[in-house]
Order: sequence, then C-alpha cells, then structure tokens
Amino acid sequence: MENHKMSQMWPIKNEKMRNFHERIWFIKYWANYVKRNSDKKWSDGQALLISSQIQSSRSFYKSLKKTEEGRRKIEKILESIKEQNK
Amino acid sequence: MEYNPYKREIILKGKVLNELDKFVIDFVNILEKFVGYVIVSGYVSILLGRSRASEDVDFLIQDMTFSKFEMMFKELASQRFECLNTNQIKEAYEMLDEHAIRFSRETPIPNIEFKKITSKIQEDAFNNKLSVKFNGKSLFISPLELQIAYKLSLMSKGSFEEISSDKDFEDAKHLYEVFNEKLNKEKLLEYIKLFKVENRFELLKK
Repeated sequence: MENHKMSQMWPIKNEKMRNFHERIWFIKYWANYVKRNSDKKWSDGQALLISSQIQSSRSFYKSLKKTEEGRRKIEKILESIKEQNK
Repeated sequence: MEYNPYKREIILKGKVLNELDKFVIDFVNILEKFVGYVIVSGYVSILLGRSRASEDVDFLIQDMTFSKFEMMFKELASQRFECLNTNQIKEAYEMLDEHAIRFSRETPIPNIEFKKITSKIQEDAFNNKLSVKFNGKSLFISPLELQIAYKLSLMSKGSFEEISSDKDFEDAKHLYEVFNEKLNKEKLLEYIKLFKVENRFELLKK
C-alpha cells in the first residue's frame, strides 16, 4: 500500500525504491538509538565517523599542496566554492 | 538529549566533540563577540545526532556595521580563519549584501557559510532560535519545526531516483524521528504550508 502511494508521487525503479526504504530504515534506527542511549554513547560513534572524514579531507589538501599541479587543483576547488555563493 | 520547548533549550550531556563541533565552536567563540547569529541547515541535524559529516556549516547573522565586521575579520584571521572569497575586508563586507561569504581554517573543507539575514523566514529562524547547551558551550540553532520544513523544501524536485538518496530529506527525517513527541505540530504544519511541501511531509511521516 505504501509503495503504491509513493509510486503515484514519483516514477520509480524497484532498485531505487528498495534503496530508499533501506536508507529510511537506517535513519529511523539511528534516531531511535540516539533517543535511547546517552549523549556520550551516540556522539562517541558519530565523532569517529565525522572526525575521520574531516581528517582525511585535511590530509588530502595537505598532500595536494605539495605539488604545483595540486595547488592548481586547490585553486579550482576554491573557485567552485566561491561560485556556489553567487 | 533533553529538549525543553518552553525554555527553547536542548541539553546534551557529555557529548563527545567531533572535529566539526570543534571547528564551529572555535568560530562561534569569536563571532558571538560581534554579532547575533543562528545556525541553520545540515549542521543542526548533525549537532542533534545525525550520522553524517558536512562540507559546510550555514550561519545567518544580523546586520553589522563595517567597524564591527572589520574587528571580527581581524580576530578570525588571528585564529587562522580565512575568508575564501577575498582577503580584502571591505570587499568581503560588501559581498555580504550580494551573497554569502565563506570562512575556513587550513583547508577549504569544512567551511563556514556566512550570510546576512535578508528574509522574513530567516528573521523567524533568528527570533525563535533554540539554544543547544553542551560541554559548557551554547550554540544557537534554527527552531526544529522550521528546520524540518525548510529541509523538505531543499529536496531535489526531480524523479524518485534523485530523491531516494537525498540528504535533505534524511536530515528532516532524523529531526522528525528524534523530536516527534515534542514538536509543535501546529507550527510545523504552518511552515509545511508556507514552503508548500505537503506531499513531502506525508512521505516524511511514514
């Protein structure tokens, strides 16, 4: 029934629909985890994920800075960030 | 997580700070000396538990004089925050009338998107902001009801293929699931109608 209603809203493919349901299932699961556990517990897991992504981004930029080509790439990235605001 | 809608306050006890939190706190420690602000969009969901990172953190700020902006800019620079758009203070200040400017530290990601309040809905976010208290620090965020409706309005408007992995929908879903019992439903519906996202809200409630 739910699938039927959703397919009326958007044209879908089964694979995408399955993916969507899986993602939403996890959002609900994680939200429930956040509600039922201490802030210390959920934020500890969250910090691992977020900090590792940021640290990996920092390492990436540091390694880019070491070469001329890398510095040009950084310039391009900065240009695209500036463009986003215009 | 304790949310008291009457005090407009959320308390996080013993939060383990991640690199994004530290980046935001360092920025706010300077910003709040000079101007009122409210944080909107993705970082609101992340601060309140969403399990994803973000490239940027969106700040809405009150109008400020050039002299205050100049002092803030210099203090940010002294703490290694640089404006990605320009290193000319006057130019950065003038840009704020046209569009957002961005600040980062050491690397372009993550960065702060810094934007002046220019619309009624942004004023609403500022005037009704919530205080999130953790680790001896307070950060001001947009009201949850407004945040949910706004996130739904940002969703891709295309086919289900695009929507099926939409971070904006997922951010809204996270806030709705975590705070459902304490949301002001009347206010939420008001914002849902304002943003014309009734269909998406039906999907969110499932």
